[in-house]
Amino acid sequence: MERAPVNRLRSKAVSRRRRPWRIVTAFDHYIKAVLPNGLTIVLRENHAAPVASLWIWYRVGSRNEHPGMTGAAHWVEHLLFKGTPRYTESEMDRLISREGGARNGMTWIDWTTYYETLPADKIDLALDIEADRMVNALIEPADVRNERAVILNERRGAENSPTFRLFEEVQAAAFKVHPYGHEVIGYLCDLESMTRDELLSFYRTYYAPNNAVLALAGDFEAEDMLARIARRFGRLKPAMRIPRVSAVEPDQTGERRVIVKGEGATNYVLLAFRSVPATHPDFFPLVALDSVLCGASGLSFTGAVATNRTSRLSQALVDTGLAADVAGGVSPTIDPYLYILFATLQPGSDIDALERALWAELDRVRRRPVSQDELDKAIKQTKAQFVFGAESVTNQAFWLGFSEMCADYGWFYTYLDRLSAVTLQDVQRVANTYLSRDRATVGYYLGQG
Amino acid sequence: MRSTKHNTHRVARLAPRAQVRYSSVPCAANIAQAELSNGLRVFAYENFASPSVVVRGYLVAGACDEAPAGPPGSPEVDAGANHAGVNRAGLAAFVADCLMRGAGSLSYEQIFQQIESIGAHLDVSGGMHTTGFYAKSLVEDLPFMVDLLSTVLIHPTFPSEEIERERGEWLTTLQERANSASAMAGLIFNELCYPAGHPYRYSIEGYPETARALTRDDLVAFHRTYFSPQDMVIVIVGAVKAEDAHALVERAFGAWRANRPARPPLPAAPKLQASIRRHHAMPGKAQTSLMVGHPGPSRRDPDWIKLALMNSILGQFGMYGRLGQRVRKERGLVYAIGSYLEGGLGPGPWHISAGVHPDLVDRVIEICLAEMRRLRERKVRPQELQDNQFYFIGSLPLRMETNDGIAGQIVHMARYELGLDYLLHYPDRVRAVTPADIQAVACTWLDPDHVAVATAGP
Repeated sequence: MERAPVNRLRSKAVSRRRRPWRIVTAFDHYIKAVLPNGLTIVLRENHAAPVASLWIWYRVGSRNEHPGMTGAAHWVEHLLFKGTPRYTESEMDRLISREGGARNGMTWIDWTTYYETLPADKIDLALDIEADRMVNALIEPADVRNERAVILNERRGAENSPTFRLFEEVQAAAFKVHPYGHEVIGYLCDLESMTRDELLSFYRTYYAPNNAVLALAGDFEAEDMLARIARRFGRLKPAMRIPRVSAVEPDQTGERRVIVKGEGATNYVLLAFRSVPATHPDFFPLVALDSVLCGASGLSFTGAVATNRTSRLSQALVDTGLAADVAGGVSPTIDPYLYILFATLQPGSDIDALERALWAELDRVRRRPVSQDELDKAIKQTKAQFVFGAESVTNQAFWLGFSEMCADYGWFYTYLDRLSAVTLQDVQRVANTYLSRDRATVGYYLGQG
Repeated sequence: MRSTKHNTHRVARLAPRAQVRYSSVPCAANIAQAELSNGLRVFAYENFASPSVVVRGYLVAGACDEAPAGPPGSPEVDAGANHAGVNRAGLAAFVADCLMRGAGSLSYEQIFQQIESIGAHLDVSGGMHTTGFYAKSLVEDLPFMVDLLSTVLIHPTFPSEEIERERGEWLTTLQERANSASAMAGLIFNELCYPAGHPYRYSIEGYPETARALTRDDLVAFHRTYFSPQDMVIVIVGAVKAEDAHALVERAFGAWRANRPARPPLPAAPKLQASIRRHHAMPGKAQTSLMVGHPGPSRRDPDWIKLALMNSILGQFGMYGRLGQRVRKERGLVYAIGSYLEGGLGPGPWHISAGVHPDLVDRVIEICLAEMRRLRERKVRPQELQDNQFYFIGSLPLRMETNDGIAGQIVHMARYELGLDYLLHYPDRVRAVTPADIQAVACTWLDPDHVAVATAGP
């Protein structure tokens, strides 16, 4: 049985003045609070299993990188695993693992995040480590050297995949001004030339409590947890000035095309349309449109559990033998990013024919409203995904934090309601607005056999 | 900083630290088990934390039944080709992939329309020894999903047109595999590890030649011959009462009567006579995929927990264990490296896998072999073993946080006949392992002088 932290906090309102945190929102087992140093805390109690998951999110990703520094956010993420004066690299690994914990770090275009999922009575270990490495990462020259080699290997591993190379080229063509145009891992030349001082400076600029969100879900009591967090993070100093991204991508006024040639016999097609941020009113109609075209997106950070065999594009491209697979996705982002459609061609399939069939389906969805059944299916699929995703506290904490990066938790909390409010006319309108050829970047990967 | 001073005595009397709520650990006391008259075993575990439910399980039909084994053109296969002269590698997986292309009175489109309209998921996949299935849905849709599962497993119609569609997708997957360095290294590795005629030598996914040659008759015959409720297992975990779950399975599968022929024992998987190395050239690739290893133990080996701990020390714990320390953390030679025990119902391979810069392959192989030798020659430090023991025990709650995780554990216990109280005794069994045990299993199972080395890359 879940407790209601809201009521408990209210009942103790008299003594709340002495507490260092300020409650911003509290509802339905969820609390959002802020420490005086600016650290945002989002908590969700869940007593279904004796585990807890801590995610610390920094508002820094490849979006915050400039030419010459591409890959810095991801590299710094690697360096935060290399240790602090308090915890060596091996000690961090050992302490988490010997408690049976899972941990990792991830960098994306808008954010960098680190998580530990542990037995609930061991979660203080994660709090200690994250508070420590928020400001005390050593970033030693030898570690920078070592991780440069590791990341170059990571990049080479990615380059082995044709789809990585295609996506990198399409992304670069789709953005001329905004840093969303480069891959998170960064360009080879920057990975070879970036210095330790530059990385250290990047870390000190962006790693601070007032640029972070701490998300925690699991088997704990919220009031007690706030105190434990405040004890560890409360004394960390906020950064004086955190640079904001000012780049605005100019409107695209015509189709762009990219061709990548490479090894292998398989061809791929990627269509990328300039999209909207998570907070834009058209975001949810685009999610609905994507569900109709390609099936509902999964709401688990570990991947979707859903097929899309009855989606429009699967029927038009896969069932006809043109493609072996088709997928789509609209990502919740801070700035306008991309709506992606991706198809893997079957052997012998004509790539021009596939693209024509794809555009024909997009024309169809622009000309005539989708059916109510299609929209209902999208909503039911998403509802099921919410239920499945809620089983894991790791997934819950992921969404607590992720939604704060691109909007706020209310955005995620009302996700289903907002999706359910989408009308057939909304779907047709956004199809006409965003899926036009003039907003598209079309990429081909042509396997050379 | 915690003390690092430990000794074997301390390891032997580890405090009971397992963060396991024993009331919630799946065990004989809370797993409702029944066997239908046709031999199907059903296990149900109630979990009302979320209104969802998972169905997992398997039936005994797999690539092992695809005699004769091997790709067309290989002498061992041509000598024993079936009556049509066609080899069958990939047949079991193809059958599984085609089950949902039409079943009972339902067309492919109707099957997926029904599944996707309720936000559910159903998947059937062919493996080496068994064909596995997985369904997930809101609990209100469980009766429908169990009925649908029985329809696709028992009454597939294999429509010709749909088989050709599935074949097209299969050929694409094989074409992509041919351009994947890691997949190609895996194929070569298995060929080096297992002798001609051994099913483990060949790909479960088959080869382009077999993908093109298999016919609808092959599919129908394989299904008719090998799909059977005998020794089949269905596990249901979620917000449903156990008796209701049992009743659903009884209703859907109880009348199914089909016997499959006895499966001959697996051929022997002898130790390699010498180290052997093969490279698959893939011009244009930036990185080389490397696999080093040899045939390993079956999951049913009595030393399995010792082996799993040994493997964790070598290439799993924290960030890839000792290998991660030597190869990534200290030298930056790779992004990822790990060691893997793939033993299942038979002697699956044990291997180290990594993605390596082409110029550094020999150096990484050298370190891998040196670390294998070190485990054989020197006892692990008690502290290192203890850390791994804690990890094995402490990670149990995380592994059983979701319905998926619990169902996976129950299937595992059923498949390998571990007993339903296996997880209750698991912490004690893990704690009982000593450094001498680790050295002993390393000496028995790791053989750095007789390894298969497979590489694929530029």
